[in-house]
Amino acid sequence: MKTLFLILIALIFTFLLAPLVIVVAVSFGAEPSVSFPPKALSLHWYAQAFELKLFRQGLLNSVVIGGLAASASALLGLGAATAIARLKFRGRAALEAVFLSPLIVPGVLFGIALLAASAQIGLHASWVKLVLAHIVITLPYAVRMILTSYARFDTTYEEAAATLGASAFQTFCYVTLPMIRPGLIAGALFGFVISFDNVPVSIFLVDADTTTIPIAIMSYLEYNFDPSVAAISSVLIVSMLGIALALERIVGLRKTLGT
Amino acid sequence: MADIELRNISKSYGSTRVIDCLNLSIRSGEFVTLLGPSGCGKSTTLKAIAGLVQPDIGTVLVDGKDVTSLPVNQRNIGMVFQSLALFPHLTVGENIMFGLLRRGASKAEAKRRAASALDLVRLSDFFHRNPSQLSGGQQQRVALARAFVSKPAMMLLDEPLSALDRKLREDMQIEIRQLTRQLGVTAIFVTHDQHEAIVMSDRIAVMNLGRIEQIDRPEAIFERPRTPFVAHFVGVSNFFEGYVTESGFVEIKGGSGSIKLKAHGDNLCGTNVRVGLRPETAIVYSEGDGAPGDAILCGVTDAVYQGAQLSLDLVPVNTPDLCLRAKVPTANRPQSLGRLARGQKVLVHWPAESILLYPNS
Repeated sequence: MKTLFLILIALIFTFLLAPLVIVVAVSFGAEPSVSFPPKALSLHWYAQAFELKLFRQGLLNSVVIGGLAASASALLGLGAATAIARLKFRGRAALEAVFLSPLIVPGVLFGIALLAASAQIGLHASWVKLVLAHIVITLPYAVRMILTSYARFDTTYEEAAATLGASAFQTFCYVTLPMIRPGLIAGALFGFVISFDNVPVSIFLVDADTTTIPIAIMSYLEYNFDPSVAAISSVLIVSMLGIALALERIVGLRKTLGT
Repeated sequence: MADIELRNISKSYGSTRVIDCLNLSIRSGEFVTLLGPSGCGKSTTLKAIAGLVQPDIGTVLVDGKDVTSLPVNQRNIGMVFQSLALFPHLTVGENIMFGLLRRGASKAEAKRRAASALDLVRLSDFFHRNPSQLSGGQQQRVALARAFVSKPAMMLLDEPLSALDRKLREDMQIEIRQLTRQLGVTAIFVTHDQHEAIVMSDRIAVMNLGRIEQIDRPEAIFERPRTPFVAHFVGVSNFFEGYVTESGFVEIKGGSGSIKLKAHGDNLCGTNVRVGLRPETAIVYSEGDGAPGDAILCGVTDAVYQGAQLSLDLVPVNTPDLCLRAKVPTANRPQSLGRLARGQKVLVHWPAESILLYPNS
């Protein structure tokens, strides 16, 4: 029974991961078209991919937007989660639901709504719209992670700090914040990944100069099908793997996902 | 050093009254233990003194000054928590320096005083370690050092030893006692362990249902518990309904007869009482060994060897529905007593002054 179960798991993982393996393998091929397995190995398509302004600019845009959005939502999330976890006021649960709600609104809907709203108020700067939109979609992750940290946090530490003469503000800075820092960092990293990966919202908001990398890849694929796409995708796969490993090191991936 | 006084303190959580109109006054330099079962309000009382719990009504006075609404961080206290609450993101030294820095000491001064506090608890080499690298007993001493390093007026200790094993706990009891004496600090200690309370305290306050049932020196609590609750809590396990006769005897009725014991109950003559007999004060004789006249002839139904003492379950021959427990020392026992095994017949006697009588209310 246990062996069968293990075989099933192995099959599922193979099904999920095999396409990624193929993408990475193809990216190292020397042929001018996508072929698997590659007959000769080369880094030619990596060089090619980074020569394309579309990809270079897209990568830069995604990193900047993701970085800004993730930092902002980590800070906003810290405030929101601290209020929800620590202050006793009416409608706490409702507020938590509001902060988590972007998770359940379809991205496409939110993208259209934001496009319409920004046109209404005369907001035309694409990158401002993008950063704002990405703050909204990454905020739930930050709030959730920091709330999880608070749930695990024993308030006796704060009582101890108070008996040692620390004011409420000092207690927050010297005790609470350092102890929930893993949640804060995990929230920011998770937010970065979510932002980096986003298509449905971004696609309504980008212009020629603010194209993010997933959208750049999509638009390139419309007219070209060569291994440079595989190369840039491999770069993304490795970066995301790096972030996942970092999350695992900081808080443990299981805890991050709240299971 | 500080005098502490609680006046008519009450505290409720929802409909549960955790502290019920409690009065307590502690002299400067005294070591007082709040003793009681879990849920009796002892920890809440301690937190009310610390300022971590705001009483619904009542006043907390320190050196005659009302501090009831003074924020915790402005009170001059040192507290050790049950979980110790050593900050895991700081080293041992930084933990101890924390309070000094918050109270405005310079970094160099804090470092110097933290080092000398660590010296005092014999952990000088551990300044740069993380708390998690220390053993339970060492963590305990760090928590103590952190609490006393800023020379607080009072030390508040909330069951700090409950996580330690027995040997270490006994060592720490003595260490804490010596330390508070050496520092001359007023100490309030919370525990549910009667032995701990007796060993450490100048006075013990036994708490029940948010009130203090009795506050007194340890020997008075142990020998003359004022209520059946206190008696039960300090180890008196034989309780019976009885009647005090005119002739100075207390009579305990069983189904088929009664047993009579000589007792000091002159002021309770002719009334029904609850009788408490401490197992350790029993004296066991063999038959024909010159036992006093009011000794009770019993059969041994169970004998449990407990190391230093032997615990006997005894059933009086003429009232087999009663059951008495007696504990006799294993060492220096008269030869004539034999093995004290099941089925043996013995005479058991409680000296009149050891018999506890409580008027039936």
